[in-house]
Amino acid sequence: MRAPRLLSHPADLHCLVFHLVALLTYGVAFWLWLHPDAAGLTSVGGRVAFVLAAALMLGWISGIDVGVNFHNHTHRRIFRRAFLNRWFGRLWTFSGGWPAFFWQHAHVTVHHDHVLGHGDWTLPRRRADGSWESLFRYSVLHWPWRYAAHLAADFHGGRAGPQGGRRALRELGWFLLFWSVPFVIDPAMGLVLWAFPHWIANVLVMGPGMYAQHALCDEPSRRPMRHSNTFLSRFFNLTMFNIGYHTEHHEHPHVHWSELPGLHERMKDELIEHQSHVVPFGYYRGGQLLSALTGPRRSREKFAEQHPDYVRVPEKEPVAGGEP
Amino acid sequence: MDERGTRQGGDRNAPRTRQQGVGLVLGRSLFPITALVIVAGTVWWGPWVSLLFAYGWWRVVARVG
Repeated sequence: MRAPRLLSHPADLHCLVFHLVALLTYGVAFWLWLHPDAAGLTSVGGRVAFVLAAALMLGWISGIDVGVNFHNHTHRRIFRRAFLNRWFGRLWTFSGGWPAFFWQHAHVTVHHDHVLGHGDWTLPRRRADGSWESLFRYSVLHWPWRYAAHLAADFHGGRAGPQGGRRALRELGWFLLFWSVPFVIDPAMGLVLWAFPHWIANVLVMGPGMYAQHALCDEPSRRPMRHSNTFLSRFFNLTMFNIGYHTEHHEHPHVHWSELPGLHERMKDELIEHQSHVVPFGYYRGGQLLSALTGPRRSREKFAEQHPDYVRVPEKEPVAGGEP
Repeated sequence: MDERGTRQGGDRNAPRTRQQGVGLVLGRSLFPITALVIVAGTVWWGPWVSLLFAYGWWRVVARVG
């Protein structure tokens, strides 16, 4: 595939197409809402069914679009021109309920620089015994409530740099301008086909994803390469931009998303040596195991099981008095 | 900047030239394209079938992903 001059990496065409199709899907949903006769949305029941179906699908893809797709862009800009990166970023995260700069700060400055440490307020809080709060509690509380409080403190306190506060205000202004458009067209539509999907994207998609990525893990200073979980489901990594290779991503955040499977192969011995946690499934299965209401202990144990190909075999003790 | 692994890295999932179109539709963009089909398809099959498809897709992914 020849790299268009526009893009930094040929595979970034996937990022572009993903986001544009996501925006198109919002557009189609809005059009159907505004033209109810076209799709038989004339009864209350029909409208409710449509809103539930559309909000689930829109929220789901928006969660991936910001939490995975834009995420890649925060580490490796997809365009060669700064102007395009800035503006496409602004028009990327607004359909997931985020100003681009806010998400970038939370992910890169807070999460990556302090993963699982005291400074990383993006992850679940710990109970007195050191275990994490439940996935449900974390997911419901983290967006927008905790994020808003922490971001305000960071921007006010200078954690985003000397000009961070001003930049945050400017970016918030752009976000509010774009985000308010569906409400201006039709306030009810804005609520059910815009704000509601963004709640799904953050609370039901990104929250459980963040939880699964680092559940049952340790700070890097205590146990190297135990800060993240690696998910090897081929279907998951194919459709989620290889985000399952999460230990590798945190170790080398500037490696392009399309090159993570190759990096994983080269790091395999190192992962085994450090007993890095590797599982054969993806986040969806992982999220189910971590949030199981029936048999939660057994489900967590299942999540904690190591992929059989990544189990470290202990070296044999030399036999005393054996042959030299 | 740590660029380890970026130069020699081969990507098992990266689309090859002849697979580019298929890769875009059935690979990385499978989720938004499925969402687009389910939402736009409401015109043909109505909102209740769309809701059924959305739920069914969720169940399928929860099993394989």
